[in-house]
Amino acid sequence: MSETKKAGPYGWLQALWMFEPMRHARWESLLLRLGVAWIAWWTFTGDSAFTEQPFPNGVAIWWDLTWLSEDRVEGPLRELARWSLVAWVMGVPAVITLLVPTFFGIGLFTLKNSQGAIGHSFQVVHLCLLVMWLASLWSWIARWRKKALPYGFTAAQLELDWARQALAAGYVVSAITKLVNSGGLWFRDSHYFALHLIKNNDMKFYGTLEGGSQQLEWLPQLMMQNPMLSQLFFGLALPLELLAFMGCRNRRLALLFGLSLMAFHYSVKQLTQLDFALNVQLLLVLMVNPVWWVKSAGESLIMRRG
Amino acid sequence: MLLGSSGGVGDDTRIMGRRIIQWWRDQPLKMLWGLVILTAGVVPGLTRGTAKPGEFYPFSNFPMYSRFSASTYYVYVTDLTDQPVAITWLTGKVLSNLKKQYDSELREMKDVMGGEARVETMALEQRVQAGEKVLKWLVPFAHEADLARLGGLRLKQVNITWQQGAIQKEMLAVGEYRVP
Repeated sequence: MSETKKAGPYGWLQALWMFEPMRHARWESLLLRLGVAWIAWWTFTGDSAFTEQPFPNGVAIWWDLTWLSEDRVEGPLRELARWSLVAWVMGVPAVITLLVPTFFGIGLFTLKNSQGAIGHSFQVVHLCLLVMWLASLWSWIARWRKKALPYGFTAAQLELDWARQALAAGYVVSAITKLVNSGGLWFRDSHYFALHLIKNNDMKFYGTLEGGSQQLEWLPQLMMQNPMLSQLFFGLALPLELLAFMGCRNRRLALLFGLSLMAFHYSVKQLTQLDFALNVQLLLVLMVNPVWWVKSAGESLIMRRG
Repeated sequence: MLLGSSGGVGDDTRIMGRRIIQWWRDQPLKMLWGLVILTAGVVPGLTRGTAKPGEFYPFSNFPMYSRFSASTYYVYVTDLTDQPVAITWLTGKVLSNLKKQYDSELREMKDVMGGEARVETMALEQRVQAGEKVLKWLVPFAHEADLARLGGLRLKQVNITWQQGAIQKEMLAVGEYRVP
């Protein structure tokens, strides 16, 4: 008799909810690190050219970070950050190798966000780098104090576990903010999202004057006249964000929430032209983790035939 | 144990404290909940007096689309004959950045004005001041030859509202920059 049957009719639900630490094999950790490093790599390309910080945000409130944008500083640090990521993938401890990518990345994007416009595309990458660096630091401290890491994790497993948690935390926080800022009326007013849909589509069009952006013109009027349509869409999206923490409990839920959140981002992109590409890529690497599922499916196929 | 005697309250508080600590120790996702408390509670609390409450890079409470109302607006850029200019190709900037910049300028003006001032009801002349600051910020990013050919730029604000069962748009001119 299987464990599920022993646990009664809702055993499958208990099995789905069960907390199972994701202990990645060495090859898997290597591939996941490669994925995260690939995503972070692109945040260290280009040239910033910021000479002032008129609307200081983050640590720029206390410190002038414009020196980070000077060519003699920015160029070498971008290069060092990229090579540090390569060393991290190869297995050099993150407390050393993620130091420059994490703090230079945070500094540079703090400066970018201190120009007046706050962007939310890169935060998730730097937050993941920060918690992975902290996980590595924690691993060193634990080793020094001769204490085991939680759930018998290795340092590499702990780094990836904390990165996954940071990714999921962003969605939970986003849902909480929606509920708090709207005074709990987010559902009721969600049909006004149609006006934002026009705003985003028009802005995309006027930014590039490329005709394809003015699509779905019929949709906002339809949404405004049928508020239930919007509420149905958001009725799925808000709980999905709020419950994203479940995606960190085990591999099955990680796959379920990873794919659902990717589908959510895809539909938002189709509607509003808002692209959270880095979130989608991190969801693919840290939550969906397709290589592990392909390997597991292959193994179970071989076992059945054998 | 009676609540009300000072020893009882102390014991109850200690027991409650121990239970909370034990509950926290048993949580498998401490980093996640720690970040949720930090970014949804602590950071918004500490930054509530700033222009961007809840934002402290790389921590954010993700306030976009967190509330909806029956009106919104966007901005775009034209040349001096009011023909739209593809600003992304001219300057490398996207219009959402321009709008956020414009919002920041308006909010700063509101703070200077103090009292009952609200961004939504600001007079056109104040919007023009904010718009011209945004254009001044934008110009250094523009390709010089293309900007010279255009002769200058104008910023337009488009208000989108839901009125009498239909979506309405209203356009305002909120700033101009002429190449010297």
